[in-house]
Amino acid sequence: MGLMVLSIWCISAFSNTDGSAPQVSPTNKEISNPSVMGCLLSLHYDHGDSYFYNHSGLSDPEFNDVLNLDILSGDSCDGIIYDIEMFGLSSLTRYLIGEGSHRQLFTSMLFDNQPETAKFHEHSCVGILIERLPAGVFADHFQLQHLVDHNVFLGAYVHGDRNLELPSALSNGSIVEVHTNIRSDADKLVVRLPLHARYPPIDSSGYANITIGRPDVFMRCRQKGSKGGYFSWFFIDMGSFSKSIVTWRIPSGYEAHAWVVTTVTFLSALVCSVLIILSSLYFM
Amino acid sequence: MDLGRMLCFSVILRLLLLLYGEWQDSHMEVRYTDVDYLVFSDAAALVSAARSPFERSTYRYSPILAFLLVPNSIVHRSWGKLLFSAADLFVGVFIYRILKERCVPEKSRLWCVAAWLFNPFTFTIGTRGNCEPIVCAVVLWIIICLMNGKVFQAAFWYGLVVHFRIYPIIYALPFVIVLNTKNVGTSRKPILSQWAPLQNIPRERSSSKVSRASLLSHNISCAWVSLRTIITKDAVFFGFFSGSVFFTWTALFFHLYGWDFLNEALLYHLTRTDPRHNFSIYFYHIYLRHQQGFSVLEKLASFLPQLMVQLCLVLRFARDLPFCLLLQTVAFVSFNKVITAQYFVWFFCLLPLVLPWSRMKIKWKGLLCISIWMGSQVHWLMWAYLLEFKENV
Repeated sequence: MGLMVLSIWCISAFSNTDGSAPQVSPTNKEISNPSVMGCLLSLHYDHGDSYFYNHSGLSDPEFNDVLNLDILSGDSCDGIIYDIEMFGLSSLTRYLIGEGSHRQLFTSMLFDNQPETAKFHEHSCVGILIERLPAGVFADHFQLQHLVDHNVFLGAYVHGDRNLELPSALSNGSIVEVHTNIRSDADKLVVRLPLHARYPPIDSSGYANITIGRPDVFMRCRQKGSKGGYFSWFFIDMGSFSKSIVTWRIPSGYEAHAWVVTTVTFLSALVCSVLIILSSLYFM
Repeated sequence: MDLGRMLCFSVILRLLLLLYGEWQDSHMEVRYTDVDYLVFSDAAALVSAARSPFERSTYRYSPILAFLLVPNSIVHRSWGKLLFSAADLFVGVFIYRILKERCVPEKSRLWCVAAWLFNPFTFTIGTRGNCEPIVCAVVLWIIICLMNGKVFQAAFWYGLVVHFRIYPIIYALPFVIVLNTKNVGTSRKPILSQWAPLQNIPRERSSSKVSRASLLSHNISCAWVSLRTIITKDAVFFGFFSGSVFFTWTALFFHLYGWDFLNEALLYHLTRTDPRHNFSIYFYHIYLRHQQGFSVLEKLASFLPQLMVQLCLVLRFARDLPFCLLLQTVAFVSFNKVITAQYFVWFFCLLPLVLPWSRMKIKWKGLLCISIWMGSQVHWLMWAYLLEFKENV
């Protein structure tokens, strides 16, 4: 069987600045059908690391090239699933849960074909959500591992800038990959990804807006009872869900305050240290 | 109540907290265990697999800590918490011993030990898995060694603890000064001021006729004498041997783990600036300027108050070692560019050593001081909470 290569991913998640309200993203009723990628033995997509080995930052066109060349080229195999319409999605809902710098990115994807009317339940599937996070936010890979240990996710991986401490101005983007089990009777795939805001660059408005684009979704399935280590992989194009971008508003320092804060800080330190020295010298 | 009963009660309290911590960790989303403890445990697991502890990101401690916690992956994950809590209890015992050697009456000693053992801040630190009680215990043990003229042992532990946690480097000068000839009697024991009942302490401030100018010149001349007589046989030996211990451990781990060790465990702490919200007065200045970097002048300006205050306190108070160490630590933490709550333990362990000499009554001046200290922290933390969890600043 020939090679099946997808050349989707044309819409850049990061270049789209159509910001939605931070809490609610509308649901689009268009249907997104999956595309067969092929068969892969690997259970884990780990090309994020190889990408960041060669690139210092997260650039969508370059990352798409890596995906096209390295991932979307699986050969066929025995047992490959061709009846793929059952894995189509009818809606994508995205919003942030919580307040402050520590929130959850909620993603809910509704399957178009209900399990009772299709052969969905005859397959065991794993959903793989790939989030491309800009420099302003990050996922804590230790926290994700904790969730994996508590069976919230099947697996979770962070590629790229995994530093948990640096501010936004000194950071790069990252790619988060979350594997989650899809129950046979499930009608939707839901992922709550814990995210943390980095301290944003100072700004004259006092706020920074971080935009998180739509995710990339893969499904890895095989028929129940089938033998062998191969899985059919599908890529589900999210391009049709145009209003799935989430914006996170984070308070930042005012540029105009910098010199006042610096002056007051150093004067306080100097005055306090002189007072300590004088009281020490006059101490009986 | 005697010391034995107090310690038994403290052991039970800590064991109960350890059990509660286990329950909270497995049943609640927010862990009781300190996030650093997970870092230590991961590093210990790496060490037990013959790998570098610095493969674990954010592990910024001596590899000794990872080795101490190897039983975490072999015996039980709470091994480290037991170890830290044991060190916490040792701190209580050492406080008792130091005060006893300074002839403080039994009742006052027990109150001072209780001020450490039953301080909610300190007993949660150990049971949550923070390693600071180990450092506190070693610092107090060094004081005991110096009080008993065991210079060799004091130097060994001092070299080790500076390798382990760096910040006790600020105690180098007072340790050396206290070893000078003026302070060492025929028994080779440094003369530390003995306790006297409060009513016997002369009220110098009120009765003294000396002018402020003569007091100032007297204090400066005392400091000069301290500095001039600093070089003694014991002091040179202390400096040389503790330095050798420090460099031996450092060289050993540099040989084993290379620049990862030097960068993460040593150099990181010397150059650390944290733009995120913390207790330091410098944090907001650092955040507002972090994009453009810091000039040499700015770095010097933030280091100068720290240096001036440390030098002044050491030269003025080194002869009363525990008091000097307490003042130095409080000042060091206050002027540091990064302050987290765990740093407060550094001076909490020294506070009971000076309490018997304080004229302050807990009712009401003491309570007022505690309230002001806690109130200022709550105020600071309230803004941190609004920023981190509400974005409502």
